[in-house]
Amino acid sequence: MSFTTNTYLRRADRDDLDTILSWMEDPDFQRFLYGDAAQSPRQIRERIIQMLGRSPGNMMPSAVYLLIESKENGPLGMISFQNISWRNRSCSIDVYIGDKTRRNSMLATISVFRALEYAFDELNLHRISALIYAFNRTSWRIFEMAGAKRELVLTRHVMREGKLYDAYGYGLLRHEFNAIREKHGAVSERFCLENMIASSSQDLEESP
Amino acid sequence: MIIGTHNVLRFSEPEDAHFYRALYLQGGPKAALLDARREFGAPTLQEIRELLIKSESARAFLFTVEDPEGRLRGWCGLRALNIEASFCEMFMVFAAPEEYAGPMADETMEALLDRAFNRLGLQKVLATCLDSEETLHACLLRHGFRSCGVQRDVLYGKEGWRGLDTLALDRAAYASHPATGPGPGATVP
Repeated sequence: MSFTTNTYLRRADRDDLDTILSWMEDPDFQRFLYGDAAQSPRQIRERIIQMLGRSPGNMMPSAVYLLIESKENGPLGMISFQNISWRNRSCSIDVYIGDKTRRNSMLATISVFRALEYAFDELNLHRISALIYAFNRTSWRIFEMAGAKRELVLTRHVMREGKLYDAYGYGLLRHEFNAIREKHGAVSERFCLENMIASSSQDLEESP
Repeated sequence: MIIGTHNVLRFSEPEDAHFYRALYLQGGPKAALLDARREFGAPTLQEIRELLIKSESARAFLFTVEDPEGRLRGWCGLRALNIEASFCEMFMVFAAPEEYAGPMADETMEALLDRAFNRLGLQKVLATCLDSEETLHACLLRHGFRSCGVQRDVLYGKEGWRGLDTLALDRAAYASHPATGPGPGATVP
């Protein structure tokens, strides 16, 4: 599957409500990210509505939600930039792949890479951070591959299934991402943001 | 009130808002006063009062530090309480950086740690400080805190980028540390 032509990132909107709702009700979402099993479906739904209707596209938002979507399979996951500080040019990132079979695939890696490119090149951010639980090895390995440094080790920091696990704080600075991009540029050239935009434009032109 | 030899700790009150605002406005950015986006703002009196009212309803532990003569000297507290993982974050802000090297800071720290470990039964206390807050950093180390790592380029200001150190003190280290171990600490009347 070619990522540039079949899978892309776009802003999440209200039509995505049911999809995101189903992801957030998934126990894995609460295990790997956040949330509480005690939340009622109504509370989850209200939270998503608030999230999707947060601000129009032309404002400087404090959060940006992107859906990973495939032409064949529809929405596959979500990437969110939260706590965006336009003063510090920083934010935190959360990634969730709804389709369990794709969590270890290139889809997650390339989606994160693409989202980071968007954050640094388009939003002009300087630093992106992530708090990732130690047992979520797939996620922190992806972030390390993108050039992020493990800055914090918080021991016995999160309770899951009655056990305490460590959490890692990662930080990625713009120049570190650029270095990785330069190093792997030849490999990832066809995954670039420009190709994605060109592909989307072509689709629009071809659509009836 | 928690009455020590060098200070008096009491719960924060809306009337303290003027003093708290001065802490924001004087002496440069402080890790304890950064918001969720790690921005250092200049809240209005009304915003600070709302924060205090909200913290009251949320049962947060915010305290004003007074000297024995009743002058307001600092703001401190326990927040971000995580019941499941049994930890919280402590903060301590004094108007003058040199206070962190003195007995008032030590006594305030002892009272906060006593509340966290002995009264709330927590297993870990976290604290943060900017790389420009050397005296606070030294105070935390003096009380047994150890660095969990520095987040780079977290805050931008006129002096450039600043890093944020996160430090932790767990129950075992607290109990064995001479400065904070099971000593008399502050007294509660």
